[in-house]
Amino acid sequence: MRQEGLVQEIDELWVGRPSIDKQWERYRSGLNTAIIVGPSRSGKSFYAMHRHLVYSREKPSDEGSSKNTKEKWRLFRYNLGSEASLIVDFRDYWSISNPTLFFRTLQNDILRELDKSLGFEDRRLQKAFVEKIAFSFGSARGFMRAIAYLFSTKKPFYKGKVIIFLTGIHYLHRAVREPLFDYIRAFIDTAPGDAGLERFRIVLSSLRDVYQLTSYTNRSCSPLDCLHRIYMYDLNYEEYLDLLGGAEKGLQLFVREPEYLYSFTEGDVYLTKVIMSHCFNLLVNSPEDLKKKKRVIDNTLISHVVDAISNPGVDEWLPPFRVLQDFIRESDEVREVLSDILSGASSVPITDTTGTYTIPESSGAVKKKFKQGKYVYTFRNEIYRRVVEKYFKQEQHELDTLLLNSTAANPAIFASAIRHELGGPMTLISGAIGKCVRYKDSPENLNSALDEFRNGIEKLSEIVRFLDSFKDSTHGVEKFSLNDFLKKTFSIFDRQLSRSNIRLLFHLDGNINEVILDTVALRIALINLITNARNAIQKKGKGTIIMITKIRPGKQLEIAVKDDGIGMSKATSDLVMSFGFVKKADGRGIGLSLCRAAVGRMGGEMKIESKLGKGTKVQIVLPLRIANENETNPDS
Amino acid sequence: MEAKELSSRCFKLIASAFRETGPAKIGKGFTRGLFDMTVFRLKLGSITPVFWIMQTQEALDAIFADELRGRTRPAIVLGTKSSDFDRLKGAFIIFLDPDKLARLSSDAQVRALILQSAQDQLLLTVLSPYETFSAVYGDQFFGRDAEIAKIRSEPDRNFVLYGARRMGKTSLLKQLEHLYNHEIFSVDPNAENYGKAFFISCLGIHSLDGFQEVLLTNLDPSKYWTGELRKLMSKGRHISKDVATLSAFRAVSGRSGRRIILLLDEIDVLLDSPEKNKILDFLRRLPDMRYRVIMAGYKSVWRETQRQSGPLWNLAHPLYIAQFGKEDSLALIQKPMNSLGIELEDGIAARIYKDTGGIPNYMQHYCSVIVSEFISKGKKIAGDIFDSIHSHPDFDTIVMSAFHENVQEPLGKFISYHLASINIQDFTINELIKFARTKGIKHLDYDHLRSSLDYLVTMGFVQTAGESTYRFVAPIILDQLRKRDLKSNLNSVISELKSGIT
Repeated sequence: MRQEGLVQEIDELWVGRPSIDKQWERYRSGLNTAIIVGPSRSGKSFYAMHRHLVYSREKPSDEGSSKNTKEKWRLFRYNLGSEASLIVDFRDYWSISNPTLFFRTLQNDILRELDKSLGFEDRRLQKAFVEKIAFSFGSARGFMRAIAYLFSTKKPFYKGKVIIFLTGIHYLHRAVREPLFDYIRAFIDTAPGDAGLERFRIVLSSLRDVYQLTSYTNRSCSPLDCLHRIYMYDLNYEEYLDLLGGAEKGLQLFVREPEYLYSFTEGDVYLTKVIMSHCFNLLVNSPEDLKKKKRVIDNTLISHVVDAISNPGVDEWLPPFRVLQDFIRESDEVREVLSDILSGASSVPITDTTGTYTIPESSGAVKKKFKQGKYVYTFRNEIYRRVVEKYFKQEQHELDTLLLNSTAANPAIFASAIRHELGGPMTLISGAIGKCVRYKDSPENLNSALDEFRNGIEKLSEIVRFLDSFKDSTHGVEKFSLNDFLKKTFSIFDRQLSRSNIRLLFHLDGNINEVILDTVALRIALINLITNARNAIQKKGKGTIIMITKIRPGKQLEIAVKDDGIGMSKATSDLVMSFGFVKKADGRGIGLSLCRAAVGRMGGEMKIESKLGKGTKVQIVLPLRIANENETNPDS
Repeated sequence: MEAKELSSRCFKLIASAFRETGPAKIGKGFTRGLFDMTVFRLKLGSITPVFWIMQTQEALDAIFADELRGRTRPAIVLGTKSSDFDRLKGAFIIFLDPDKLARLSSDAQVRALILQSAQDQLLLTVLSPYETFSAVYGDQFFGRDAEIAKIRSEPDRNFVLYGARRMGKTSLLKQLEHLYNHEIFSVDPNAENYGKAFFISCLGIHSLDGFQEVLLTNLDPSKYWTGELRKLMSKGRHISKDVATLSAFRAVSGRSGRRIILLLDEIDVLLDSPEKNKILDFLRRLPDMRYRVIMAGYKSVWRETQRQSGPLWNLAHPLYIAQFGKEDSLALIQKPMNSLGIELEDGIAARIYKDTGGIPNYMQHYCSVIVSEFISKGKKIAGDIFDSIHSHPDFDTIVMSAFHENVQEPLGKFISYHLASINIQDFTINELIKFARTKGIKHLDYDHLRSSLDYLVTMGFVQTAGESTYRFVAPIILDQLRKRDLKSNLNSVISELKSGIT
């Protein structure tokens, strides 16, 4: 079985962790329930296994005659002070979503493991449970009490204590996780002083427990904060030297300046091991190399390996980075914290309005520090900083490439973009048809419905014109007065905006007269921007949209749309123009990317400046082609 | 004096210095007495075993195997040889070797010597009574004398305890269970000195059926699990769970001749469940003479105690669990510290009380960090200890998650964040309204704030300090809020309030 193989491996690989052992001793002298907390690959399950192993070593071995062994087992079981341990790995439970089924499976597993760890080869306990208790528990509440009852009858099966390690809780389905937590919380409160339940200890370990449990802000109580916590700290320097000492002894690997390696990993166990094993592989290329007595790892080798493992493709073979990516994708908060630290700040202050301030920490990439009187997030170590940096760069590059190829080259994406644009007018038209049917007897209403109908058709033909422009690049390019155009185009929004308490203001530069531009592309871009600004303000209540035009040095024309809506964080604004970026529940992530494409068609650029809670400003910078200038100088 | 004779004399001395709380036992080569050692206010329980060894090897084997390992409370062993100590390593014991015994028999200062040996031989964390993550009872429990006296002096009344999280409601229930089941009460004509208590946590119980099952498994496990009750319930006889539970009540109280005291924890879950009326009606139906119920809860209980038509009305008398007073707090901090041999600089205890506002869980955290700091540095505890306390990884969980659990409404958050940002303690409602107006929150009025502040008062974060003046109880929370990104937190709460989600 996998678990047994792992146990053996741990026995061979275990390096001492005095800082954790100290916490374990403290737990042993106190509470019944504990949780091992730490980021991914910090060795939480390893530690649980290690403890399990230490306990199982105290049990009788099979050496000597069978009669002798039996007697030893009997003594072990009747010893008040003995401690038996068992591990249940929830990795095997991922498919169970029914709480009743879950508790029954768990019950069977615990009974089987108990039989094993108490030396009942004939599965005596399980049989007794079926016969005497004659009841299969659909909840955990009665189950432990029932075992305690079997342990305290006139002829008890066992007199000592039982330690139950539960690992990998994040594999559990949400529907079964909550009843389990409820039970554990009830157990924490009930067990101290309860003669039956006091014989059990539960130790949990899992990566996302912290993240999941603390996010129950609206529950009447969160089970997590009542568990004794055992922190899987990164190695301190002495422990780190111990680890290196092991490598020196076993593999004849010698690190020349250990501080140098420590400066990259800061005691991250997993990374230290990965770097060491890579160095070993690089040093040992041939059987002759293997025979050499001492292999020296120097600084150049270390920095070479560090560069290699902080490559963007690293997630494919290093589990912690894959986990990190999941966190980045799932949680806006993690993404924001990481990109904020990357964008220059060496640390980011912690906000906790939602009460979920431990989420970024459990991603493993950042750690919390107390710095200059404030709690801040910083990177956990140099390697994580590099990985995150490269990840963001790569992501941006991929999105840019996607966008470049998107609207024109890739038919599927193009189709999707067009569908997005067609959606609005289509809804308008179908709504108008409905009204026409409904109001066929009331001419006044019918007229307004027909107006809407016409409006929709106009918009459709506008899109058709835009599509046409792809084959004829000069289509839609007109000579017109920019300020008039803007005022005229957006007067249609007036009524709609004032209804939702939004004012539309124009700060237009009077010096701009007639310009030459693609009106269709400009209209599509600006309508999208105004719609976004309106949405941002509506979430807040009321506000103002300002449209600004001005001439910039270097013959550039700037058209900006500014709002004082809810704004965006830096991380979001970096991404928002990308194709397929969705924040709204019903969004398709196309609007702004189409904007960008339209602006691109006019040979311009688009920039977004935004502050969370303050507002957003989108600037379109276009090459200025003034009509008069064009006439006097036709070559340009 | 011969070693055996010496240890016999010392055993007698110990027996005279401490109250005996259990029968003595004569085992293989040793005698065991049980004594109450709670006077030290350490984790030396009311039933601490003291072993007097007569035959070394055999006795040590027996003690180690049967009595000591797996114990979480220390025991005392009177040895005949100083080398015996090695054999007992790994168990929590206070070992008195012949030298110490000689000293004990000559100057007869039993308590001082035992305390000294405990400090020398055990990790102070093993002795330290401070516990932040779990309910405490027995030797670790402290204070709440008035509440316990009230509950005991009115034996015919049911009680419902309510108060903020981490205020010690569960601990109080566990302590009551401990007192009813293990301690012999003094003969007080007014006191309720009999009863068999059952502690039941209501988490995960959402129906009357589940509630009755939990009651049955707790009350009469042997009958329930051997199937007698279930057979009655399922086969032909058709007795309902109601009747089964009643008969279990009779059986248990009849067998022991004692009244049953149900201690129900987390009854918020019951009060929020769809079958709350059924469950509470069932409790009303149970025979008064045979049982009594003491419940504890939090928000929903607070809500229900406010209205007469609530399901708790006439069933249980509300009892508010507040934070500790100054005297209790100082005793909680200083007494165990003295016993542990930890010297606090003047004013440290007072500052802990001031910082935490007497919230017991916070004080326990402060003290447990002090103990572990003392272990690693081993010197007099000075004012710089507060930095270590605040930067301890558990601190966030204890202080901040309690805050977030208790204060979830935007208005409560708004008040706390605002007070943290202007750094004052006393405030009036009018000041709050004024500030809200300047921030553009127009719809807040006196009543809104009043009810939100009432809630904060119940949760133990705020107390009234005169007519319509309030004061934040624990400055530490404001402090912690300031150490985070307070500005953006305040802004986001303000925008939440503006958008009308109150």
